[in-house]
Amino acid sequence: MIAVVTTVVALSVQHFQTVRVLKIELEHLLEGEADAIVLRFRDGGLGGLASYIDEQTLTQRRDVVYMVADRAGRRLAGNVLVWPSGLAAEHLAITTVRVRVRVRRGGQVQSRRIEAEVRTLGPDTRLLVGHLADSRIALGRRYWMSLALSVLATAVLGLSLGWLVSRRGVRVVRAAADTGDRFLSGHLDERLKVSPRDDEFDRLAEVFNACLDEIERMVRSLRAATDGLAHDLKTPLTRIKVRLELAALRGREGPQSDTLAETARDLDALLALVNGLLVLARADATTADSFVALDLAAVAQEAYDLYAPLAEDAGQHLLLRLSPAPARGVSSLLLHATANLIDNAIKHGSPGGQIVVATGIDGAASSLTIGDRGPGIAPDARERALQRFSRLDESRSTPGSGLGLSLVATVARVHRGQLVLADNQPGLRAELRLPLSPDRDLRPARAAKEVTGETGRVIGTEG
Amino acid sequence: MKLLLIEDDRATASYVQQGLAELGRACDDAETGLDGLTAALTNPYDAIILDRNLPQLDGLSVLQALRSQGQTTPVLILSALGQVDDRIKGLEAGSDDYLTKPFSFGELMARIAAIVRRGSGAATATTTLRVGDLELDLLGRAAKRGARRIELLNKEFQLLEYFMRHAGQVVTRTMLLEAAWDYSPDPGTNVIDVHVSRLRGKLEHGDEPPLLHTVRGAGYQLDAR
Repeated sequence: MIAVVTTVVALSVQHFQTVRVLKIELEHLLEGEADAIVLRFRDGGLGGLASYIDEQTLTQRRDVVYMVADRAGRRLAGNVLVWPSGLAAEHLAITTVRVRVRVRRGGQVQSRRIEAEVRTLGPDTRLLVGHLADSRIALGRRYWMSLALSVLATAVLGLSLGWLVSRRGVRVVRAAADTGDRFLSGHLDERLKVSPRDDEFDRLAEVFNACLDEIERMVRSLRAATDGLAHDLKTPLTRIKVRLELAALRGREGPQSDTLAETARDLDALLALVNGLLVLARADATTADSFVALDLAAVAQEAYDLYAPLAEDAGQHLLLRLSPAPARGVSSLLLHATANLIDNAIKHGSPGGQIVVATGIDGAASSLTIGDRGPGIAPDARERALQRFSRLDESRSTPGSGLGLSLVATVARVHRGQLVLADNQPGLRAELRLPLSPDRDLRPARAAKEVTGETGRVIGTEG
Repeated sequence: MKLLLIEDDRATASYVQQGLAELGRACDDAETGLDGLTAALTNPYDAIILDRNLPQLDGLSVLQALRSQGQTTPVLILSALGQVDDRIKGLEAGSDDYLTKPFSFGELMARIAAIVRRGSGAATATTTLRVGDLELDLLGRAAKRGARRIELLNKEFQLLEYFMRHAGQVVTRTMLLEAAWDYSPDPGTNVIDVHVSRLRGKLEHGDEPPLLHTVRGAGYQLDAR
């Protein structure tokens, strides 16, 4: 549209400039001719004028026409046959008008359009000098033609280019709408295609996909959490109920203290579970404005102080290998995460084995690693190990709420870091990696939930 | 010992009052912040148990009003707001302790006993703590039982200092955890049990009389009986 308007304006300006120049030239020409004839009329009268006009019309100025007429419009000389009816007889002004006249040219009588100037030669004599307007009319016509052609060309070109460009946009928008529809109807793995072109549409598609990833992650983790929570609440609640019913059957005589103690223990476990969920929810809601500068080595030392006696009682050796590992974060959360990892290592490590707690800088990350010599976690079970309420022990008989590793993964994620579970050959090596500088983000790329080399599987996306 | 309970939740209030009645303790009860403040300013109490979310006047404002009147009655805040920030806010406003709901009655009583003792204020600027023949030098960071020197790790020293400052009182596991590890989240009480049993092992050699006692269902007590 804009292109069309621009074309019209440009061509019009050009055309009207040309027309103006031509018009000025024409006025000069007509004026000059008229002046020349007036002079000749004064010198040689009507007779001299007629021969001049004949000479002019036959040889020099083929495109100029003349007429000398009396007041009544009768022709006295010249090749215009009839005084144009459009021109008033008493028309005296020196103006240029466009009229249609009959002229004799090369022996033929033609009807032509002219632009003419009228002069008064004497009391009963008038002069008309005209210029054939064909070329100017042709020019005008050519202008309209070229204008139409240009507009057409511009419109066709512009529209087809626009269509090409917008077709991709429309396609992406339509694909996004379709994908969104299918996602809403329950196909949580539905995603937009990202082309290798890497343009703005691909950026949009990536962001759109990232949103879907996040929603899918939350929906799945909510489902898993609800299932796990229901199970973990039901078991102790059922036990409490049965115990109370038995106590009621026994009546007042029976011993109550066992019932009360066991019930209190079950209730403690339930409270611990609810507390664990609260801690997890709070960790999940952590934002960067509560971060302070800290050293993972100090966090590890604190956790070591807390757990070293416990490890020793369990017949394991807790070893520290600390070098400075600066990071930004919430120290109570990091301490809790570290404590959970050490607690896991003690629970699952082998008796007499070593548990090594190491900190240091590794590339762009500050790292805290806890390695045990226990059975480890099979590569295909590692992701599941991070989910809420998942216990790799199917019987759920080992103590623990199944929230421990899930909290560590959450803490890693809110710190823009990651939790990497790997093979310690033998045993489990859990590494908490936090960005060295606050503007880095170590969370795995949205698409890359897969294996990263031989170190293990990068999993830090569970919430 | 006379206590004031400022709590708008009737269930919690009656639970606490029943428990206190079992122990033979008198307890006044106010339902709103304004009533509580009036009661606290007009009657002498040994300690005040204060909820944070109260109608009319919130708990922290009650506390600030009390302190600005020069009232030094020990105050324990009892609140569902249990994050580190909340605790720090509570302590900064002038409370002596902070207990998060849900709580056990034993925990509440142990803490009240602790702050009432603190309120009677003998523990100012001492450099040496003594319980029986146990002696803790806070400046030299050395412990002795009788003539025997006791080697203590850093955390063991902190735990022992806390025990000795609260000698004769029941100290809960959560209190110990807060004392030695700031506000680190509860890692499970068995961790504290292990630390205490090690500390006990260092304190009680051979046929020395026991000092560190386990109080069933509540926690520990350091006492030279």
